[in-house]
Amino acid sequence: MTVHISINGLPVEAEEGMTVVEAGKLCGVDIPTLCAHPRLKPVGSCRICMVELEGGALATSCTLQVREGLAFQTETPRLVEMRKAILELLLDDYADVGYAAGDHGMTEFERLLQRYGVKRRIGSPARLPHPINADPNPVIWVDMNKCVLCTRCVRACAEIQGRFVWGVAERGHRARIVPGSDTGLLEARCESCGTCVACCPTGALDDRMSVGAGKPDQVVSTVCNYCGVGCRLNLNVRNGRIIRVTSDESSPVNGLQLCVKGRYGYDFVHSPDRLTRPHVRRYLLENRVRPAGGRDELVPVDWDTALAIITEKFGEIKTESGPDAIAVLASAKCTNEENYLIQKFARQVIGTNNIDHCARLCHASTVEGLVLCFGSGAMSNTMDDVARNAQALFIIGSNTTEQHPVFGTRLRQAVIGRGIPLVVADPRRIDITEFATLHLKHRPGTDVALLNGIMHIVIANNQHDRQFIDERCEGFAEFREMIASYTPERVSEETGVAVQDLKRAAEIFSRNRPMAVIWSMGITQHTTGVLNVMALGNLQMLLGNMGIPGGGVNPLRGQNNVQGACDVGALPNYFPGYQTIKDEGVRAGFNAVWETAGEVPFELDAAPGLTVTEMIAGAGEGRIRGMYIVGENPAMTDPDAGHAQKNLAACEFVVLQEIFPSETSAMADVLLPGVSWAEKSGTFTNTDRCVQLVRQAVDPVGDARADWMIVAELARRMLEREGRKPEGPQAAWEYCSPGAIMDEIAAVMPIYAGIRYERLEREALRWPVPATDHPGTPILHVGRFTRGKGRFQITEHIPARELPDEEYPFILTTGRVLYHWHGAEMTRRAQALSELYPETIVEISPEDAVKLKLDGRSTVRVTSRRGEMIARAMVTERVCSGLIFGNFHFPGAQNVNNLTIAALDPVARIPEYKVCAVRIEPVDRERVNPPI
Amino acid sequence: MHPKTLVHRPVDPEVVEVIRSLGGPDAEIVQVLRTLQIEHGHLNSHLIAEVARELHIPDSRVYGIATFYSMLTTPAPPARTIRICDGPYCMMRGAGDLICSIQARLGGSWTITRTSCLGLCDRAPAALVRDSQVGPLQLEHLDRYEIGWCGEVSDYRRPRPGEIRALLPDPAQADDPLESAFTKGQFPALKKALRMDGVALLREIDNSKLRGRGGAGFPAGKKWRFVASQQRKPKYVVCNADESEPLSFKDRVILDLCPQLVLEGMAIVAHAIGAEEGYVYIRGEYGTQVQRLLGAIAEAEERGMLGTRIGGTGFSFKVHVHQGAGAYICGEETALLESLEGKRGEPRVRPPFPADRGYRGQPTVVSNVETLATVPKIIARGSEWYRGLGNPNSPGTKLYTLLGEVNRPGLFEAPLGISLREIIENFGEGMRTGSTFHFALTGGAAGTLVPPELLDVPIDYDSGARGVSLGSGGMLICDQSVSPLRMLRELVRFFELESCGKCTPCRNGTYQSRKILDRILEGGGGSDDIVRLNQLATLLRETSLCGLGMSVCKPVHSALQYFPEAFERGRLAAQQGAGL
Repeated sequence: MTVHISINGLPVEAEEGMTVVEAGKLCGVDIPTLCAHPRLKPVGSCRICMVELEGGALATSCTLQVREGLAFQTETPRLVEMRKAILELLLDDYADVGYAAGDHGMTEFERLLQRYGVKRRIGSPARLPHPINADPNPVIWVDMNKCVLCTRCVRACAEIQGRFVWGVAERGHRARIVPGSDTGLLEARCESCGTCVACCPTGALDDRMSVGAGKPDQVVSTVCNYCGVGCRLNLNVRNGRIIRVTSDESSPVNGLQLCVKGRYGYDFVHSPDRLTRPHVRRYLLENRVRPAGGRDELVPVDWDTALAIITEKFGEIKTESGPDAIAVLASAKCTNEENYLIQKFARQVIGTNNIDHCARLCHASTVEGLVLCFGSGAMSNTMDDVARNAQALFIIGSNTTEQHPVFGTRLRQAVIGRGIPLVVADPRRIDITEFATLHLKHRPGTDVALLNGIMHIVIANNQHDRQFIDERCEGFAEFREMIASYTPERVSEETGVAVQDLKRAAEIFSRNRPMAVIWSMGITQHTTGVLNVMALGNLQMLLGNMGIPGGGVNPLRGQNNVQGACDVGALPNYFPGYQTIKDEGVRAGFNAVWETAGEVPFELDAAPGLTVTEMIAGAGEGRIRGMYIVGENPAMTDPDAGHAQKNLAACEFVVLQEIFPSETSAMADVLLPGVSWAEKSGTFTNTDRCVQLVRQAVDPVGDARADWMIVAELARRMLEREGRKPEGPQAAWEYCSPGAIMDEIAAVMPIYAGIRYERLEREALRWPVPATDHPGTPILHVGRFTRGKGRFQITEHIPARELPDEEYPFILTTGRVLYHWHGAEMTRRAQALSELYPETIVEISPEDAVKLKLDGRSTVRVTSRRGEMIARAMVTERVCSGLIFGNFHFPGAQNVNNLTIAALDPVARIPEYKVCAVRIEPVDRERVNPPI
Repeated sequence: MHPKTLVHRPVDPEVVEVIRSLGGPDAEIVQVLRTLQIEHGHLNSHLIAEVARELHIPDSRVYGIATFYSMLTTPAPPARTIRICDGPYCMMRGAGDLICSIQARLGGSWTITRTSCLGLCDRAPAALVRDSQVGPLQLEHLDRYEIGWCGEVSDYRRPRPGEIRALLPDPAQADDPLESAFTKGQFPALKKALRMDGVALLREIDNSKLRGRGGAGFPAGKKWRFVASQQRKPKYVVCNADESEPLSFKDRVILDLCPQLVLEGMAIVAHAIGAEEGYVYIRGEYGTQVQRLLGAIAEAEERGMLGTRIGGTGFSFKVHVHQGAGAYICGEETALLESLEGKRGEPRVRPPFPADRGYRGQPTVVSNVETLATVPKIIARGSEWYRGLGNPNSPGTKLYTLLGEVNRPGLFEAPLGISLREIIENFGEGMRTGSTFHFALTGGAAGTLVPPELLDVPIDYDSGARGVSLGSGGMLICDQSVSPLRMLRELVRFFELESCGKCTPCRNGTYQSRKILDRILEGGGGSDDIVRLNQLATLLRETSLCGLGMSVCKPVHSALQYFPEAFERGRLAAQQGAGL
């Protein structure tokens, strides 16, 4: 409702519910504020923002809401005097010794002082009340001498991050801001996200790595390169180096929020370990065959030499063994444009569908399962929609606050702020369970049974959405018959979840609609991954939660651009835009657009190619003679890593395009230096299908080149060697910029048809975007499923492949931790992150720790049928007895993938990372090598 | 990640047990901390961390609370603590010297600290010895306090000449069946109220023109009517028994003499507005009164006057007692509600007012002990009777606490609208021999310094504008031996120590004002200091978030207006090294 108010005598129309500060902004009146912050609930404590109401009363404009007829003045002499007096009072307790003077233009507080002409005392006082560098946190700098007690940090931590680390201690003039019970930040459970720093108006909290780094020459807005949430962030660059990451209120996905990796994990870009020149094995330079003992030394060479060797070798293999003897691994870390080129290279230039990427290892089962249920494999709603509109949340198999931290905090906010119920199903007591109404601690590998059990109760209570099922779904009768045998008692037996908890979950979902289900690797990385996903599809159809705001199926994609890499066709069975290669019409279309003229008539491969896991196995068997791996590290991240390494070692010719030498480089014949996300432009597509611009901030290091340039150059050379000339409209490889590649993508895949860089400069677009005037599609399956009717699927419970026995009595489940990213090639080289989490840790329950005589300082050897790892044992209630958890962030003897099993889901070919059987024994710390 | 997270430790069994005994997950955090402190003498970081773990709340919140309330102690002093009151009257009665001499006598075996006014002014100098009320504190009796002796207790059962007792029991009326029903806790007014509806009850209260007795004087009927009009449920009735205004101890006396009146008043208001639950927020220093109250609640429940289906009607009302832990600010209604919710007692920004969003965000009545205790009398005897007492603007009677250099200090009940002169002459039986009236402090620390020329101003809720605050009814009469400047410094220091620290003007303004007064008293002050003091007081009045900060201006401005020469003299005297 519009209300009429008067600001400084001028009539203004404002919206009811707005605060006076907001109303002022609306008409360009800048009311000074200090404790108020647009993202935080107002507390009205600093008193700077007071305005003078008609009649002379003063009121804080950050808390006062406008009402019809409200009239006020914002800058009367009385107000100016009052603000001066308050600023002077604040200055009495403020001391800035000036070390950060060169870093910022001016802090918010300094701008206020300047605006009201309040002079700061020059020089530092004789005795500072607080130490200047007060906290050992490796990323957050604390100098309480500059604190003005606005409590923004306290509120930011509570309201935005949901962590409650900062608090106010004591009272009156002695009141001060402290972490926890006046301990250090980390001891007070700080996640080091830096949101408090972003909210601090004085520099009392600062980014430690940036203190004294100076003012940036330029600030580049781009997208984070870690997880699939797709936070926008600003790279602050000075003299060609990133000196700070800042966040910005206007970001569509994250606003001011970033996680510890996004805000503080950037320094790997400038790591001395970076690959700066192409390298080839000496035998290749000397034109010899590979030595029998294995690969010889890597020699730095120029680009021409390296690319010539690759062209020659791939050409040779193709001629001798056919295109299917070559396999290409694209990268979920690369841009859409690059992935499009990589798959085009495989299909058009090499002539094979042997193109895949790490989506195989994370969400292949999601894509397959959801396509079967609904016809489309992506997240159906947006993160923002879920956080704002869901009436209940169901997190199953997603450690959201650690793996998708910024979305995790949005969920915390939804629980705290809107009071909606949250059900978490996870074998571990992960952090988000602190906010859960109900935690279902089911046994690993029993998701289908759990979900069937809940659905059984929903149907038994007649709480299923009959109308939705009748109108929009099919296969319900068979489904209902299947689910009948999943009685609560049976399911309780299978899953270890009490019958009453199953009932409570069913009741929560029945009473609070729409419910949004959120999942990740805990659902997908099983031999039953596709079944798990389909069971979730069934649940959401049963409850009528599809195609509406606040509901939907919400798989959280792992990598920054895994969604995009899938979208643009880096998959063995799909052309760009999920156009299936089996479809002749589709194939004919791509034959036309990518056509080249040469000796052999142009014809795209009609058979689906190999998946990641099959490629690696094929390399071991000799079926795959050549591999082109872009930005992946299969030697570390594939299950049963020892076996994967053997297979790769056996491969005849491996090209690895990377930014660091990795575990896989030992098996590479040629190393090509690609660049990090900060050194190139393009687009990433985040987990909720939002396509965003990535902008280059710094020059590539050394001779490194943007991946799209390398692939295009290689393609040109290969085509030239084979005497083929591009004929089709999108067949050529001459690109002046990533924008031109996007134009080509838009031309060949309808879901991106309307996406243009000019549009992305202004707006966030969520595919499908069928036309340049189409606004994008935040919610899928509205009114109709992509496949027409939603299909209830038959999902019977099948136990995990390898279960514990006498010899291997523990279940091992794996995953990631907040501070590292996947193989951690980047985060281990980010100084602060490796300081925050320096070594591999396995989680073990207090009960088992007692049995094994472990105390939290112990090192253990964990052994499976496939290998062993050495790790620090953390004793924690996060896991229950019989279960241990390990991460795959550390290489060599610390790698949990030495243990995991390469058992695959029969449909999606995804490995069962989440369940295998292991045994544990303490080892002497001294024997750990390398020393931890 | 902190190394501590690698090690698993079960929660300290002692903490688990304390929390279990106090209600498990619903245990009030302040009570948990107080209980642990009784055992340990202080709260260390281990206890704080364990309480946080067991209650599943952040460390920062527990620590914030443990360091906010004055009765909670975080560093580790020896187990036995004497908190000596340094309220204005106790200071006049030598509390400052006592602190020094007791310190010297008891040394390391006890911890001697100062504390803000304990509400034991009639037993000055007063103290809390291991949280028990003691007074007057005398050096020669130190060993007796340890075994439970608490000094002399004042007796207000009998009225003094001239008193009109509408609220307090009047032995002269002991034969009146209605009055004896009151004193016997039979809740005659509640029985009558249960036969009336909310509208009629509130009309009675409106008609009585009862105004809030906490000090602000807001019309009680208007406040309660607003809560009654709210549709949202549940609603709450909160009795503000956090009496912490220096010089005021009337609520303590009510709770000692007639706690059942307070409960009956709460029940009547609850019935009128549609509440089923009530809380008495009582200051932590009133341990004895907590026991009185709990006894009265048990008795009332036994008689069926509290609890479910009271008097066989559909009305149920349950009363809980919440003990504070030492914070003047918690007398401010929104700070009280925050504290009641288990947080630091920091005031909320208003609006919304408690009547709209109070306890747990629900419509809430917050009223003073004296106000609520008056309600049964009004309902039983009728509003006309009540309005007939006192003056037309501020009808009814009021409890006054008279202190200082008069012949008969103490508490009495009298109509509103009497002047200081009447108070001194008629109720205090005149100034003490050798004492001449120099000034009075009326209305507590948040009151006014009153010069002789205002002795005849009738005192009521509107007389503050004429220089004489009523406040909660505390009156301190000072003779020529007391310096208004030094008195002012004590008052400002009180505000400084009791400021919650949330808003800038109060947090820093009270501190700066006290420093200025120190400077003047120590002889280092300049005339610009006096100007600055005046400006700060105005800033506090205009910009403070709550009444605490706003009221600092009352003593400052009145002192500057009526005793300018004291500042000048103070400056000169200090420079010459003379005492005050």
